[in-house]
Amino acid sequence: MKGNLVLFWLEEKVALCYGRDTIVLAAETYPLDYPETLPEIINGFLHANGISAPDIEKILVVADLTVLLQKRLKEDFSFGYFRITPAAFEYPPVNSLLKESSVELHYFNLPLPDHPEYTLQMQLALKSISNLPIKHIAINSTLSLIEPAGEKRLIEEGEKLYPGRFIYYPSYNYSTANFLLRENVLLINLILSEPVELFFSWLSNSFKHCSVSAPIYFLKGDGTLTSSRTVKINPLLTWQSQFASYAMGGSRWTSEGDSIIAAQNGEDICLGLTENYLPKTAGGINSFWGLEIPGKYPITTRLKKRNGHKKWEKTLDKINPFPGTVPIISFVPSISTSPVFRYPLVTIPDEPCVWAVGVLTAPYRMEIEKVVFFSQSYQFQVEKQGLLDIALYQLNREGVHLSDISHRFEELSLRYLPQNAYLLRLTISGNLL
Amino acid sequence: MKNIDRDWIQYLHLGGIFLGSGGGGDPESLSFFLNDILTGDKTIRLISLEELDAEGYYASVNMMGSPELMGQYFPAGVEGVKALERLQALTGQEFKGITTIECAGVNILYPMLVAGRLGLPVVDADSMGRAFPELQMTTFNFAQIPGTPLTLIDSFGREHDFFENDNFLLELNTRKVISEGGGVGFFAGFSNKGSILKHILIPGTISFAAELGQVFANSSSYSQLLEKLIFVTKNSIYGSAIELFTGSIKDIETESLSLRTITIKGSGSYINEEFKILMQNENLFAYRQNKIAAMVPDLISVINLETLRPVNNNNLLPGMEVSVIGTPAPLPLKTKKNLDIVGPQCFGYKSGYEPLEKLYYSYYY
Repeated sequence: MKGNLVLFWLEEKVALCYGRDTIVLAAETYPLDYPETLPEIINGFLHANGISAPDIEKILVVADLTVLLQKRLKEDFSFGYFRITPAAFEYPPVNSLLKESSVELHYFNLPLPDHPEYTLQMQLALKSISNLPIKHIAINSTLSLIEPAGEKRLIEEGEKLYPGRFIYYPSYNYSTANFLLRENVLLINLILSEPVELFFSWLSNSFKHCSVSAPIYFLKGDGTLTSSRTVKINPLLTWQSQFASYAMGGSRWTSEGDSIIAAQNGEDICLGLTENYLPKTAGGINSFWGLEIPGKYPITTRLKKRNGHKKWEKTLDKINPFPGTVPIISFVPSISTSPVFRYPLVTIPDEPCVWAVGVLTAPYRMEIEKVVFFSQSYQFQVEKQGLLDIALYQLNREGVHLSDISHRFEELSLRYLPQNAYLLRLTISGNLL
Repeated sequence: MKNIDRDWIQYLHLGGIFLGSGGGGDPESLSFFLNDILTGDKTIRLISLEELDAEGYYASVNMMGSPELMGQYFPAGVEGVKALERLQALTGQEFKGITTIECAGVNILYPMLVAGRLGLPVVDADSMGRAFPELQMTTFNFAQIPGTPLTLIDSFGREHDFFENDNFLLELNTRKVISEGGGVGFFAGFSNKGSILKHILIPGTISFAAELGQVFANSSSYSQLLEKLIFVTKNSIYGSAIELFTGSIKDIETESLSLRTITIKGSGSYINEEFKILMQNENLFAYRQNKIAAMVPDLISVINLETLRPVNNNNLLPGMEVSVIGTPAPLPLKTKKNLDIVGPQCFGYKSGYEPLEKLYYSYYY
């Protein structure tokens, strides 16, 4: 039977499931003492469950790649960062992440490209960085979303002066309008880049070894799927994807679209929400290692196991956004009765077969943004159509084919401009074919 | 004279958002550079209108364009310095200090950045008393004084000079340049002698913003905050603030390409009631149960009840628990003649201006 393979990477163990839609046909957890044993594990799983490699249509991976940061920050690793701003400023980048780490960041302030000193300062900075044991360079410009030419010029100049010496990470890959938020996303992803690269080659080699050639997709923290290419550029998107799979799995397993999810998190209990079978996400700014990052990640709150009835009631009432009470879907075996009578408790096993149900039904979603200026309404429609065309082209380029495709535009008005100006955000969703 | 030090930054930031009446932008990113400038014992002098040199010239240095794009551009003050230096070259005047045309949003902190870099004082006054969307909505225009010569630096660092005698035309032409130049611009203009500014600008608005900011920074409960707000506004050239509504944001809808409506579902003493705020760039009109509750030029400000901080329009989210506060605008904005420039009819409202003092007569008298 044709189906999809779901792989949960949990660092010291790996769980494999096979199924389609809401049906899980096989599920197994394996210890992962040695990473090189993964092909053996996959082969064993396929063989034991009578799954032939050509029957696998898609591989859906749940891996919070941000856990790789922990190890990476202990390594001796140096990288460069060019800040292209109207004036130099000494606010240390990603400080809370690096303050107790071995990673060294060398940052250089450059003026905007129209500044007479720009070329000279850029060349001096490149020269001084070339004398350091640095391979990776991040570039963030205040104009990256409006005019990325400044970043491209720096890369061209760097290649001309030091061909093949550096790998560049331009900020225009991240459509975050705010300079500092974009800086955080860019630098976190750069620090993660090498371990993520290794992770990808480990994963693809393991599947190749087992003759599994299906395309690989990743679950994001918002509970939707994305392409491997997107995750390679922005592994930060996988933050909290494990919790997202719990939430969706629990919600689907119990057929409770709107629910409160309780999952074990070390000694604590992590509470989250689902809305229409997807994790309810916080829309604005999230805190990651003390840094502000944009994006959609599950709303979660922590409780101690020993917390009493009053604390539970206060917390549940606070996080519950629904008009009435909703069930608590609990993966925590020690909670056998509802901590608050008004909220019915549904206990379900903390097993990969449950998590996989959510992943198998997760939609694919992509988002792109563009700043548009227009004076006539019809021009706005033209801009929207143009953005939709770009998004569909990107999907096609990545080999993503969707059914039940839908799209939604969000319009953030950019005020105080004579024409109408909007930050247009296009979200395309659908089910992977 | 007062000295602006690092402690002021947060106060001006919060007060500026409140006086922005939903608009004017969030000046948070400006505080990074200002913190850098005000290291150690460094301060910026804040001088009152009475302290101005009658024969000395002072110029406004401000930002215009989209505050949403400002977060991306990350202004450092050097653009304003460049604009001011160009204006000095154009006029042959050496400026004795810096003024702001708008004591709200980003334009409360931006002139400080420029003043800090140049070692010039900032004048404790402004020409709007709140945030307004256009350059002609100033007390300069009330007095028929043009904002030109004016120099503008666009996002790409290009320089533009303006010499229009009509402030409406100036608004039109500068805004056009900005939208073609990356959406954010920095200008120096509205230069005048101290003797003229003493009669034109609204006095004490910068220190008033700081006082408001202190209220937000130092209140631990909403009732305490409201009490302090009323006290501070009552003893100012504005007028006593009044709570217009509290509740949770139900919806933020786009009415047309430029108009949006926030709908708030009542809570507490407003339960089962609905409140709407019609906003363009700022909050312009408020309706409680479909009856007018406040209108421009009076200030309609929103406070996040969880953080007890004022909120800019673009940071409002559905589900947010908020309180809406009305504050009477300073008198110069409310004369019959000046309402033709900043009154409700300038924003497409057909009927005349109804001040908060009339709408809530028993509260005020």
